[in-house]
Amino acid sequence: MKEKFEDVITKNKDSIYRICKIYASEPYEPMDLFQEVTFQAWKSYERFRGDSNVSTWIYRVALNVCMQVKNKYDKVNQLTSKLDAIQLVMHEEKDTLQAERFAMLKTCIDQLNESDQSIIVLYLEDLPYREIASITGLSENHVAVKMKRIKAKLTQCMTQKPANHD
Amino acid sequence: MTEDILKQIWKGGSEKENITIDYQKLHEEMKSKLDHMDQQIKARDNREIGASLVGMAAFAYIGYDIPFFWSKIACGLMIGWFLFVIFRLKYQRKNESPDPATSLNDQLDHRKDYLIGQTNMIKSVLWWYILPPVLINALLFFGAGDPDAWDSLFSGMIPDTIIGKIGVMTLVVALNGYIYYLNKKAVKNQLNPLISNIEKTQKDLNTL
Repeated sequence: MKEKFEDVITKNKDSIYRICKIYASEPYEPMDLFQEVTFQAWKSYERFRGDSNVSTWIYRVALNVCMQVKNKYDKVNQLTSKLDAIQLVMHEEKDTLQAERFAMLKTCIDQLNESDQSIIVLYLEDLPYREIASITGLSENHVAVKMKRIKAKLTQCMTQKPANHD
Repeated sequence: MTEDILKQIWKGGSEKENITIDYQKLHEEMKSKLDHMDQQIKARDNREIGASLVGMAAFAYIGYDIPFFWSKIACGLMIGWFLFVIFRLKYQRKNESPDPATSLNDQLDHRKDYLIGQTNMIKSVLWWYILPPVLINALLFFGAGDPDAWDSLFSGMIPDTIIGKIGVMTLVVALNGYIYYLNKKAVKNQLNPLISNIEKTQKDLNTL
């Protein structure tokens, strides 16, 4: 039976938000993208027949919407206006070291090309190659070969960064 | 650095933020936004069709009333052109929003096709949006004889001297030339870079 839309979003909201954080760039904040993803997912959910995992479906929507927003040629008024029902609460007391490490990871992901970015964020979300292949439209083998190269680049960047800060 | 550590850092990326969603309010908001978007699209369509209908009605009347043969032909052509523009814009807008749940590769294909469609439409704007009304206006003005032979509210629209006709046509050409320039600029500065970006992403995605 098809899950309720609310359950899909609740279960995946942190993952969606992390992806939005990677794709957000001026003039949009991650929350703007999150709201857009939620709205587009809601519109599309009726057409979701359950022939793939619901997580595959929501990642596809999140990735496509984020990339599409980036590739809009008229960035003004292209997003739906704010959804007040979605609110973001910041916990300033949380681990700042973790935040710094994430910022470093984001910087390294930003240096990858768009295609590699889309693959690595899915990998970091712990999706198996089969699912990444289904989301991107590539073969599993293709994803595996690409992943090897992307992981090497990312690891190299992450290990170089702290040295640069010293 | 191990893969597990990378994943741990990644997962911690949303630790500081807590997203709260009031689902009942969300459904109401999204439904209202969707209705609002539908209304906006309908209003836009109605405006365009309304303006075209007014234009067509005016030219139909002028075409019926004006005593000059070539000007009558111009009015008929103008009505045909209005119909063509409505059809062209409607056809172009058909593929604006694909299902966002298709694969990334399909989505990029669709997005590229859409942008290429937009580019082709804008590139060809000279032939279907700019030149026809300019030529039809020329036919209307230069095809008209002595305005005194036409007793109508609209007869003041037609300049009665060659100099006047050339003056009006110069304005029409200048205005349309400016529209053409703006369209060319949009293709060069906005659409072409986006298409190149999508092509690059497709190439990167499909190359090992």
